[in-house]
Amino acid sequence: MKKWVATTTAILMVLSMVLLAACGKDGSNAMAEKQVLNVGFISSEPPALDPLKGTDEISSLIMRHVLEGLVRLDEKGNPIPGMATKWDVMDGGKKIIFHLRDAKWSNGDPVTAQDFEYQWKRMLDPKNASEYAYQLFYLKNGEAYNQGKAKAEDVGVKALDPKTLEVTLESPTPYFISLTAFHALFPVNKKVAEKNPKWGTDAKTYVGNGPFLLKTWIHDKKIELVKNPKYWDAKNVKLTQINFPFIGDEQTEYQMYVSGSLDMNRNVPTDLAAKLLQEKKAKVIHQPSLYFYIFNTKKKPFDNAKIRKAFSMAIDREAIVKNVLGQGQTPATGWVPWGIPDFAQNKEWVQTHPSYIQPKANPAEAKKLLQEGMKEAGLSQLPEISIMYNTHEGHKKIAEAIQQMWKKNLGVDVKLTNLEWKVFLDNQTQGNFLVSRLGWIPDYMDPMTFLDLWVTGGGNNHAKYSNPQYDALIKQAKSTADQKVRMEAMHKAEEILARDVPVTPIYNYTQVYQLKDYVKGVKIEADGSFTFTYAYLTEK
Amino acid sequence: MLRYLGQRFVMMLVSLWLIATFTFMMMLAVPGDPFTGEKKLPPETLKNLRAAYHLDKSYPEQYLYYMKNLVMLDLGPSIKYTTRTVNQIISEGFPASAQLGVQAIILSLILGLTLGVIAALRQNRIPDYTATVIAVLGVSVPSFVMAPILQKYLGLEWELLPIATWEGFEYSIMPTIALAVLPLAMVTRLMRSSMLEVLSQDYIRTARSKGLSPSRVIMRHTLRNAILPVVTIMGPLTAGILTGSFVIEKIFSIPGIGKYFVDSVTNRDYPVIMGITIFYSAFLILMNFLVDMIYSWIDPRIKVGHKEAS
Repeated sequence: MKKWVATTTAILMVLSMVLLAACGKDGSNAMAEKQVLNVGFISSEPPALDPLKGTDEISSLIMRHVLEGLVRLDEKGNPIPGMATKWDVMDGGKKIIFHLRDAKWSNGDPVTAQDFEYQWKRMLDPKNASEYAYQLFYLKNGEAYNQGKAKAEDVGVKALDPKTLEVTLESPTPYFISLTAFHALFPVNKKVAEKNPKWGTDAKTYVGNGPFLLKTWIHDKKIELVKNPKYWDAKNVKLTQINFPFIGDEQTEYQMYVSGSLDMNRNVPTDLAAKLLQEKKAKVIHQPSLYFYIFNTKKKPFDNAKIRKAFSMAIDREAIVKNVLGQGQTPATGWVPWGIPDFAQNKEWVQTHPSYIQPKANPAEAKKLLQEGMKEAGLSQLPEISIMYNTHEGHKKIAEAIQQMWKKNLGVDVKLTNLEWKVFLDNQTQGNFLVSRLGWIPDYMDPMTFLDLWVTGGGNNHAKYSNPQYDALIKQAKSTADQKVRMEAMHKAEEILARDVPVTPIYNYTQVYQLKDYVKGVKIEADGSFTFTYAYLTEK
Repeated sequence: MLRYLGQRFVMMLVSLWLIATFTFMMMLAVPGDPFTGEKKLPPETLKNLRAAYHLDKSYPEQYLYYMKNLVMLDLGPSIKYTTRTVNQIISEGFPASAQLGVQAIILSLILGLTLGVIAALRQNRIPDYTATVIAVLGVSVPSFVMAPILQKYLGLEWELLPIATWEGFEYSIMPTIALAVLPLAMVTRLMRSSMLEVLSQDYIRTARSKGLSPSRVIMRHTLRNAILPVVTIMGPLTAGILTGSFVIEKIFSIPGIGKYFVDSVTNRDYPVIMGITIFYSAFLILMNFLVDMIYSWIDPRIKVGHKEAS
């Protein structure tokens, strides 16, 4: 009898262990019955969901889910088929033919090449005053049409037939194909938009070609997307709904995430970020963006390169990222941040050149350079120097740290000037500053977006920097499709920046976010943006 | 009476016109415009944009254009929220702001008056001390501190109420409490001191000596007079609650217009700045007018329309 009990118990134990193990395994990976994702991402109303008008990150996020461009981007930022299945590059990179797939709009209409041609010309039409029109200035006569100096039919985009789109560029632009994955170049349904120009302002009239449909858009409250059964890759889309409540406060969003009413929290409160990262309750994304200080090269003492270099060298970037920021940022090593590819060497740009900037300050060298510079400039003492920044706790802390570093490492007293955002921008544009902060997020994944900032007369060249040699190198890189030649020219240009230091890079940005373990398949794009198209939920 | 109302109406319109004009001038004097951004736009694009919003015209032309539309009650398009007009922003956002504000006012009046009366009647006793402590806390703890505390305990720890967003009545409870704390404290303090003052008046003593029941003395003679100072502050207080709830709206993610009041200035969204300022001003002016009316109704000694009005 005892033996029977022992044997049965043993068998039951083994069986239950096997079952438990099996359950555990299935439990963690089994698809959840309810595929509804609640995303804490949007802090306020998206200003516009028509590609004609949307310019901000929030509008872009929604548009990337309800619309789709000619291509999409893979994890490394390379173009992969979207609405176009393939493309032929001809004429030395100046002509591209896109071949479209059989895809449908959410109202059942076929997606045609005419829809792209219509939308791109709509973007460029000066009457429509689209802010992102300049993203299509690569097209032949794109800029001229936007300036009223050419006609719509002169613009280098033409539907050869419903499935073939011919694009003619002003000059070879290898990143143009990737740029078609950007929301400003998404198509709109020509028939719908012609009939109702306000189609994009209401969920009821919204027509998309993306993986999701705009189900609800309640202003200042929420956006709800549902799966689009007509999407060409619908079989691989597992989420049935994505909810984006608009949450205006970081603390609130965090508490909602903790309470379980959100599956994702992207706006982690700054004061909690370091702690949450340490506790592994949050993750970090390396954003290909740069935080830097601008020297006004037209004003004394920063009209002298040695003085600029001395001030740059006296900044301890490692201390800033560790002690002031603490969210996984890294000290900048050059003028192009991490994450941007070098297309000739198939590596990250930052890996293909030496570090131009050292993470630690070099007070001895900095002092020596400052003295040499002052001698060169004929200065016996420095004029009053002030760091200008816009109202933000982070900018203030960085400015205070740099103020101390310049005092300690150079013996220079520095004032701080805090201004409201638009007043700050106005002063920066007018050149009313000596040193000022700025950040730069790439327009496209190419070193050029960081390097052509500093050409003579560039709209964003607040340093008023001018170097003909530099301008020539940028011009050379812009005139060819040969990646080797382009990358080489841009590397040389960056070396010039390292010599002249019109601006001094401080750190590379990160984004701290929280995502529940049961959410899988969330894609983080090369530019740091999120895509939920192929995300799914497993059992909690 | 009708003549007085007519005069008041004209005065209201003049006040509104002055406010609109000053706001317009001040707005344009502030550096930066709606298109000043981190990334500079090409000059031609900027030109197209400015033309689209009539900002390429001279200031007087812009002013006349705006005033002409204002007379037609057209507040123009939002420049930042390109798909919406200011009329839409106000008509869609005001119901939430108003609901929150009205609830907060009702709560603060009911509780504040009750606490004030109890405190006065039980002067220097435990109910009085309790009411005083509540009043001091209410005045000294700002709503943006109170709100996260409520969220943490009522929402996250005890799971009694939703933390944020705006889906139904239960979502409005926490923001109402957070918003009501300050006016509640003010009403309590005002009511207490006013009650004490009235209670010490001769006519109350006379009423009591005539043998009226204490409840009759309080209800008939004391409350009616003691409530006057509270009514006086209700106009600006109501307008203040409705216009000043932007912090609460932000913390609780309420789709009101509070945030536009602040954000429109940051964005230099000119039509929204103008529209919301005018809307709120009209509201404040109207509230003050209503308070005057209520005032004369409660205290017949104060007659509307009399020039001396004292």
